[in-house]
Amino acid sequence: MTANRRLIFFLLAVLFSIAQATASLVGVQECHVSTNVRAWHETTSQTSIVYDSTQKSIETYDESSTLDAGDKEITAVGKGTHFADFAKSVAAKGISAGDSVIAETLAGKGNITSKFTLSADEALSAGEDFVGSGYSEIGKPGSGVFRSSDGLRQFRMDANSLNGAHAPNVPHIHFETYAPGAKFPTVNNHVPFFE
Amino acid sequence: MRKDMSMQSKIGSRGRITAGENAGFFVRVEDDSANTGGYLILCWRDGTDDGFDNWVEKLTDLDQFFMESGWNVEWLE
Repeated sequence: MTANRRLIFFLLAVLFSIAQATASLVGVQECHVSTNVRAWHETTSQTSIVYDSTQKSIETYDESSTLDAGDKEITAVGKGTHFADFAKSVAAKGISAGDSVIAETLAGKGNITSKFTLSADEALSAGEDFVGSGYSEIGKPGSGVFRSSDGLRQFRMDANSLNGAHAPNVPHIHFETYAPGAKFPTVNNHVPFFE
Repeated sequence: MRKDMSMQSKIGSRGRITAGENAGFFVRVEDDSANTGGYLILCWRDGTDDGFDNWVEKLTDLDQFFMESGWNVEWLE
């Protein structure tokens, strides 16, 4: 009987934990990706949720909490499921310059110029990460315009932009997002790069 | 078809965005068929490096692009 009670209490505790986690995740509005701490933060209306990749746990986080040592620079604040998924990915492997650009893009709105400058290698790697597997080149062969398989993300390194032939008048590449079926991007991040 | 023709006539022309998020910027559509096979929409603020570019794959995409932009463009040329 005692063993049965323990089992019931254990199951109830598990269910309660799941319910708490679910309730916390509903209504998630913002994510913060920070450079030094491998963690992502989702801000709800009242509290934040911190994923600690070292502890492999999700913790609630409020305004009185302090971030871990080294967590000084917030590189991006974003909203929505896609950003949360990205942030989890960053939490798992650490953040690179390319990740920062992707975070900045997913957190952005409209036409923006990145605060980061990538090397050519970093740009290509980040571009591939951005559009993911199954991407395809659109336009004419060799266009340098690549779309994700779902059509919602575009990595563009067209010759005109690579040459810096137009504003912002420096060699740049593009990380862009689109709403389904849209032609005007939701975000168009102009990212300077160097050879 | 008439709309496609109207956008086609604007390629290479300069316009000014008079309303919308980027009001005050100039805009020009460039035929980039030699490079990408698509069209570049270049926007800039005169006398500065402040600007950006967008891209569409097809001529028929231009109408939708400008409609979604929320811009009101006064074509100057």
